[in-house]
Amino acid sequence: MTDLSSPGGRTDPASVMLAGSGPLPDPASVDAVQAAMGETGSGRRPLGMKKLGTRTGRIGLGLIVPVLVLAGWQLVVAANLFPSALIPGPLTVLDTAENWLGTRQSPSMFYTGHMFSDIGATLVRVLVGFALASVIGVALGTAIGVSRLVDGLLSPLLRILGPIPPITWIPVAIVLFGIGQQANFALTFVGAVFPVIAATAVAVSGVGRDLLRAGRMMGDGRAGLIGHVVLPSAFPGIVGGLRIGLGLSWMMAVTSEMLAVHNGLGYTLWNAYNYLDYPAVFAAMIVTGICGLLTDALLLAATRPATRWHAETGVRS
Amino acid sequence: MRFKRVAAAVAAALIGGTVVAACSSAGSGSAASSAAKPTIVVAAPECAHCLAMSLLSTQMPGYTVKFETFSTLTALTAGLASGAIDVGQIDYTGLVSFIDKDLPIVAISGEVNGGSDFVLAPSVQVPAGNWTAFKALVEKDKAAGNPLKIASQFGTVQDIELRLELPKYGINPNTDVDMVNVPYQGMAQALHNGSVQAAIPVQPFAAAITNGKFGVHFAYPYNQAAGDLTNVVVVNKNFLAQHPAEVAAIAKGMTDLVPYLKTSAGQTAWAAAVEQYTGTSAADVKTALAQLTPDIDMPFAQIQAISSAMYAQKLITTDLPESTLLQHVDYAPLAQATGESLTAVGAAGS
Repeated sequence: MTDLSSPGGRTDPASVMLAGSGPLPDPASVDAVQAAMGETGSGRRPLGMKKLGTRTGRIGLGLIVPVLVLAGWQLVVAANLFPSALIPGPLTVLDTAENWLGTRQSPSMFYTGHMFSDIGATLVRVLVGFALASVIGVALGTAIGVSRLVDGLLSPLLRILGPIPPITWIPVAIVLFGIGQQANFALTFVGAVFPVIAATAVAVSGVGRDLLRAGRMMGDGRAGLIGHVVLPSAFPGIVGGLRIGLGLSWMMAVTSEMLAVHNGLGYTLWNAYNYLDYPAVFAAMIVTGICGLLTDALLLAATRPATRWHAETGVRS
Repeated sequence: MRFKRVAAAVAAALIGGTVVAACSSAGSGSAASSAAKPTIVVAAPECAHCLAMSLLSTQMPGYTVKFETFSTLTALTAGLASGAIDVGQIDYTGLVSFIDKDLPIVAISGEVNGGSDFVLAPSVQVPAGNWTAFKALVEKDKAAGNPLKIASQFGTVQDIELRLELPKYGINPNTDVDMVNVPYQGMAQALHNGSVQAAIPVQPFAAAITNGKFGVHFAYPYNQAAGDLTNVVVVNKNFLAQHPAEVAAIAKGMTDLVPYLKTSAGQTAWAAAVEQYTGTSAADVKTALAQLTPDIDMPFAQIQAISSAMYAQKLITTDLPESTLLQHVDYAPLAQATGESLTAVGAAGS
């Protein structure tokens, strides 16, 4: 695998072009931009920004809005604006989550004590569907991004298929794959693949010609340019598509679990929905969201070495 | 240039369609308001039984009845509980779920029962109604480590009926067969490609399956405590308390609608409604309606049977006592509309 972060072996043309080439900017304008972004002229961040730079600070910042949402949710429930059976309060949902986890056994429901097996079942569906979508999506997106012929051949069809709600593929999936894991994998794949293709194609087609010239000057042929220049340079954009695709994988895996499975977050969610067990529906929604958050964090961590250069040259203060 | 003209034509069609839809919507609103009659919002899902409710307007001349369809019972429920819908038609499992969650919903009338059809894939060589042969097949498949798969839409009356019916023939629905959750719309495909060997659809999906030869009729799952109880008409508790005249009119409307559905004119109108809302073919609708039984009564013992079955399947949190059920089933409007006693329309003791 090409080392995208360190120029120790082979010089990364993307890093070279972004970090060191082109006319030097006007120092006055740099100061103005830095001031606007909340940075001092010497590159140090203000005290508040410095605190946010720590892991604890970032976690604290990230908790502010969810806590406010929880408080607002509790207020809405306390105000009795809606029947509590339809909009249960956070504490009721927590009770149900405990039941689902198995730390509370009463009442005995179809989901009691099944939380971890449900998470595991859905996780497998997400990982398989997302892995397929990533490999095929990045390959197709790259082909579209570098080739006008492939773009002309595939883009019209992909633009037609992309907006179709993945849930409407369920009858097709049943016909093609029957009911069972294969249909779930296929539906999860369909949910994720289109944004991955689109993001990859846009990121790849947006790679600067100067970078390509630099790659050619260093002796790369077409394949070498794609491997050494195009993909590393497009990778931050591709990661954006993968993150969207991963989120959609969770959505679609949960949706597909309305179909002929015996476990999974979606199985519990849809069954609870069918029987109007809204505390369980809310608990399943929240657990699904947390699972999505954790897998997104893992994806970010796994891809960070290859995108650090992009973050360091970004505009974020 | 040609592309531009085509694009312009498409854009014009979209804009025109939007404007026409907006005007039509506004027109219907003004028409309703100009009628100056009280408006009652009636909602039902899109099954064959349910769409009989679209004809309620013909039985309530003193009211403007606005009919809405919902694709899921749960969405309808939310509208009903929040007060956006005055009258809802749901199934009895929905009613029991409401009661378990203490939602402010009260049943006031029966509607249409039946419509469940236990079908087998054509490849399953078991004669219709031969439960002994069916049980032998179930045992054989179970012994082979590949339990017979039955497609069932969880949360529906059909699912509960089959779970009550199978034990009558010595088959445990949880351990002897593999009941898998498949929406009605996917049952034909699942039977066709061999993913399942049996299914328990509702009408008109069942008619489409049997007429399309994707499955063959095996049995109607009514030989159990819940019988063929299917649909029930409910109102919000606040609506019941605050609009007694409207509730009485609805009960009277249902009392007139149910016999009308059994007449030739009623069957024709009902079939037209099913075709209009579901796009089902006339042949399938004819098959479907033949299996439906309009029935105004709300037999309490059968409601209790459904409640007990749902508790046994861990689908509701409590084994609902009679007193709790009775708080959500009001026989008075129906008794008043029909002129019969409470027990005659299904109250306990009948």
